[in-house]
Amino acid sequence: MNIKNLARKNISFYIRYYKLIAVASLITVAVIVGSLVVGDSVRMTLVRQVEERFGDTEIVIFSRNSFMSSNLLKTSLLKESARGILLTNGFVSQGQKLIPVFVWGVDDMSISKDSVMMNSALADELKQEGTADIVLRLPAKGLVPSGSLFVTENYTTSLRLSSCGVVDAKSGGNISMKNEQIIPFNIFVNRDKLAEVLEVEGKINLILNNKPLSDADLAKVWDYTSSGLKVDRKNGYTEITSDRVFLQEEVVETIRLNNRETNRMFSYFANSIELDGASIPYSFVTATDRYNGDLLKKNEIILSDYSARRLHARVGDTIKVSYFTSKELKILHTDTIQFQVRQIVPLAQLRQDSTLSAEFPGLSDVERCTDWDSDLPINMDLITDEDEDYWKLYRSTPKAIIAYDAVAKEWGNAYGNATAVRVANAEPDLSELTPAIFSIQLISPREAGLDAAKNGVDFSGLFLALAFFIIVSAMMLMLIPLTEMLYQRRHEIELLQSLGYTRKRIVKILWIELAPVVLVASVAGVLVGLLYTSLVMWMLGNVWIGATQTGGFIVYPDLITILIGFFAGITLSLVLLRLMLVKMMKEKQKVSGRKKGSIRTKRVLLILSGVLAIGMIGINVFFLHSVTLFVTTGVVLIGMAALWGDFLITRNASAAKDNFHVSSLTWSTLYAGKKQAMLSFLALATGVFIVFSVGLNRKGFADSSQLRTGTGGYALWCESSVPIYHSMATQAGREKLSLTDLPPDTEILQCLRYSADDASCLNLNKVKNSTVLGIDMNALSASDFQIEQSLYPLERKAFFEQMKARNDSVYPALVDATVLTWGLRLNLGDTLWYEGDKGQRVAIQLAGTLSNSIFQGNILIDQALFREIWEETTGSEVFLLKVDEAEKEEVKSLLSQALNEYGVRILTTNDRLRQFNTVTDTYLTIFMTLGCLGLLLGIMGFVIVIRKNLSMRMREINMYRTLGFTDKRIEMLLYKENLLVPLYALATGFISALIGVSSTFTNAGIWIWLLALIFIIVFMVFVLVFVKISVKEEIEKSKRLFV
Amino acid sequence: MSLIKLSNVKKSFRDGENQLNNVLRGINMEIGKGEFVAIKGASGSGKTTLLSILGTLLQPDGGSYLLDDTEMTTAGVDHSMVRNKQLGFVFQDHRLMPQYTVLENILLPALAYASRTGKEETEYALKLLELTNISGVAHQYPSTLSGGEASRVAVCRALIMKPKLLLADEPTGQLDADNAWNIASLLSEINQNLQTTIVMVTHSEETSSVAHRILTLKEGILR
Repeated sequence: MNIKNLARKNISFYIRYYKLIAVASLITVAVIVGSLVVGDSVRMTLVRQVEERFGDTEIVIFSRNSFMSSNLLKTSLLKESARGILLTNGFVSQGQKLIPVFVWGVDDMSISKDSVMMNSALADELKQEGTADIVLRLPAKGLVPSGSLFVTENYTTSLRLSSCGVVDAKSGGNISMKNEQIIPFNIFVNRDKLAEVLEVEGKINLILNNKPLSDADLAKVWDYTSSGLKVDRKNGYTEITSDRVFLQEEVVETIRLNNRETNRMFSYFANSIELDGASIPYSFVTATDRYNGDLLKKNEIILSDYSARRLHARVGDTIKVSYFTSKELKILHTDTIQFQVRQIVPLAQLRQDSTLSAEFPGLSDVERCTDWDSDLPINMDLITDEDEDYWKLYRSTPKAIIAYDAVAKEWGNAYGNATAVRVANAEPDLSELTPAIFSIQLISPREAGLDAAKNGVDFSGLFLALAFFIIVSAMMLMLIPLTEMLYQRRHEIELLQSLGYTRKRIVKILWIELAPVVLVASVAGVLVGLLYTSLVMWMLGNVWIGATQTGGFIVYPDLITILIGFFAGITLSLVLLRLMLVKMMKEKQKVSGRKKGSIRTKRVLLILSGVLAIGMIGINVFFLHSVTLFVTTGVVLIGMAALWGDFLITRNASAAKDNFHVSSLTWSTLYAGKKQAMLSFLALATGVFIVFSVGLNRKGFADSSQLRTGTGGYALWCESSVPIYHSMATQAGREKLSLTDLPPDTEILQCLRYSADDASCLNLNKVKNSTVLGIDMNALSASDFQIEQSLYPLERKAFFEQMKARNDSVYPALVDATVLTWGLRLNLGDTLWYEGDKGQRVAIQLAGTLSNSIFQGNILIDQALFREIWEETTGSEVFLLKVDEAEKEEVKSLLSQALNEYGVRILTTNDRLRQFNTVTDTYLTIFMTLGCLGLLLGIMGFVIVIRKNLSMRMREINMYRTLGFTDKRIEMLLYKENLLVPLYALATGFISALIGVSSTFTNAGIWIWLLALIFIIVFMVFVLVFVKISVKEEIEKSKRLFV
Repeated sequence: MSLIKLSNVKKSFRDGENQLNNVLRGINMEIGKGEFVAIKGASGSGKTTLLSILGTLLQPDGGSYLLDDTEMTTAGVDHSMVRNKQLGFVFQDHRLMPQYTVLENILLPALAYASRTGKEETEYALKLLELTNISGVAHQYPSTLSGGEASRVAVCRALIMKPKLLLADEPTGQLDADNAWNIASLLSEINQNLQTTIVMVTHSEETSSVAHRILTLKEGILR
């Protein structure tokens, strides 16, 4: 005989207790392992998506604002390893629906010029089968930036292509530059065809290279011609121009720094050249530093003899030149500047210098003045036959030359401040022009993607936190049978002590019994945990897709994670059991007779916890308004209720000796089984608390004020697939956009967008750089958006003023509070780093947070500051409208029709907010589901306690009977005893939840309250019926003891 | 030569109303080696408390308890070891563990400090069973035993560690007259054959008659 044999026999003898302990251990390990593996699985799913997104691409060369020559692909470093892509946005219209797509112009997928391939996500969206035709809408791009003043915006170009297949994920169908798990809609077309349609032949803007590439390598393969610069050796000078007409300021300055006698030139379209009532309308004028080698003074103008003749001008006369300027959204201002005629030169001389004027598409390349196609409001009535004759003979030959410095600032735009630079050097030094100046970036997408995927939303932690209550319930479920068993074995323990067994020895024997049970159950728990993971992953990809926005999750059982989960679970179980065991064995040695003293202690504790709870509620209601504190208060309230219950039981059981009545029996019985009663109470009350507090936190949109702070009072949120370069606030802009029928008082907030990663709760990846919106801070200040926290303790107006000012080189930004905490996982005051258009590193400091709003996913900076960083982003892709509720639908329909060409998608701001709330609600649903599971365990514990209590009391029931109690009276006694705990737990859990969520429960819609009511009724009916049936059963069973 | 020497041993408890209840008011008692002493007394007289003090399950509030010349009330005495090696207990309700066989129940004390029992101990257990005339029940479970058999098994378990002192708390309390007499005779035989000192608490005149000396406990004092 040995201890192990004894332990084996004990296990088998007390198997009903050990079964429950095993189940509880199994659940603990299963939940921990399951949660950890869920985390790994989500992470690995995201990692797999990264692999699918980028295939074998190691490095990406990306030209953000302009194009690169496809000749780059012919260089030795890229020849074998690179794919040249022409990437643009577009949209596919299907019936009334506009589906935004990424259009990938490729040359390596054997796609003919009239065909198209798409990824599975888009095929599913279009329900595309076979070889149906697709109408693809593309922005009319061209090399000259669409946002520049003279370029006519031709909206979009349509392309009818026939579908020739689906590119699956493994073949790179889900390629994306964004670190998001939401599968993009991708369309693959023939690159040459796309370039032809976009009028950018021979150009690409993306190179995917399957070998690593350093900045030095890029510098080797890149030269200025790759970014469209042209160098022409002319007679005595060299001219540098760009195929996109405008030369960036950085480029111009770099050339000037490294070359001698530079001459900046800016070709412009003037509205008029006037002298004393004589006027020449709509003429090309060139601003230049020097003409024929001579520097021009700021107020000097050189006229062609043609112009002089038309204006009757002589040297020394004052000439007025009027022109349009625009600094944002093509809002035109007319400026006039005066010059003195310095010289009159023959027109032939100007004509001879053929590149004095730049080639503006729509202006330079037409046959007649009346054919000019431009966004400028050209009054054709002013154009005379003489003008047409001039155009016919001399086209865009400038009619005047003016000083560059006089107009450069006004004429300069986001894309550049010169149309040509001339240098004296025959071989100009352009060595300091770098790819970064042309906003060409070298990106390691795999590295960034894997970092984002691996450090994304921590589902392990999330599910562990969400399943915390299950673990707590499992612990309770573990302790209930343990305490019960030790109670049952109290005589055995006393005997062992009388036989000379030390307490330590007895604990060891019990431990030898418990440990293998927990071990075996924990091993089984691992298997159950993996099943749990599979179930959760399926739910995340299907039922709970609202939280993840993606499907196709894989289950990734990593051995190390499983071992960690297993050891964490088993350690938790064993430590808890050990502590309880030692505690209970110690208690057995204590002498009774402490009732009076303990009542006093309980009273003090009760008062203290009451004061603490009331204090916490007060502080939170009047000062902090913290959700976390409310939840903590709820937990404290449950603790207080437990103490109150304990106090009542102890006091009433004690009082029974002085004042004996029927209810004394109930209190005394509860006192005898107080430990189990308290455990059941805690399990049930916590479960009810969690289910209710989570349920009542769901967003029901009952509170319109909460809605207003989220929408700012704006009714519609619009996004376009193609940037809109016109202002919707001006009459001219509305005319241009066919929006003249908009109610005149409609407020429109147009935002600029630097598109990066979505930092909203819809993205599971870690977001390093969130999309940035450039927004008018004045409009934001006047809106109903609510500032939650701010670095500047200022009143609202002053705060928004502060947001418009750059602090040295740091740009202040506003961010949605949710994005800050969950998307970016940063704190107020933290800084994000971006790359500006000139390749400069830009620090954006998160200086304030907005309450839960429609701006989730973005950070907001002042529009003027935005332009400093990303000056070439001049079109608006996001805009919000403030309209009356009654006009909302009408405006929506008007916008859909008018802006159809821009692929505009319109969403009510309520719906947008609801989308984000759906994610929150889905997480709450998960929490609630797991909470319900935990509650189920709590109910299991309660059922066990009741059944045990009743079965142990059969002799007592008979004793009552022999004392003359009727069955009815016995039933009532038992009924009362067993109902008190669950009903008290339900009331405690519910009231604690109400107080815990009191800051938000007004948001809960009527159906949530209805559900809560149904839950309470079901719970109560279950308890009443179960206890009734159990009591009746035991009374019947007890009768058999007489037989 | 005395095995037990109690001098002015006192013990009191607080009741539910926090009133002090002096159970033992100063016990002076000496029991020699090999003696068989019966302690009688009315219910609540403190018999079981006294037996618990003798069995080191309770510590007296005052006074001295010498067991084989070793003071039991001083700190540092390993009472568990004393109980295991020097004392044996027989309870009125036998306290046999239902999950173990009779043999295992008897051998249980041998596992208090060891991981397994040896051959010698098993043989001694079987011998004790033979001595108590129940050798046929060695591998049965307690639930199959009669009251008399269970009492004998309890005696065997008390003797397995060859104690100097056997403490019996109403050993015949649950038995009929015949069985009670048999157990009393068995204890007497053990006292004679094994020279084990026995202190037995009992109500029964007949059972106490087998003892060499009968002490009566009244209002916390031995008379």
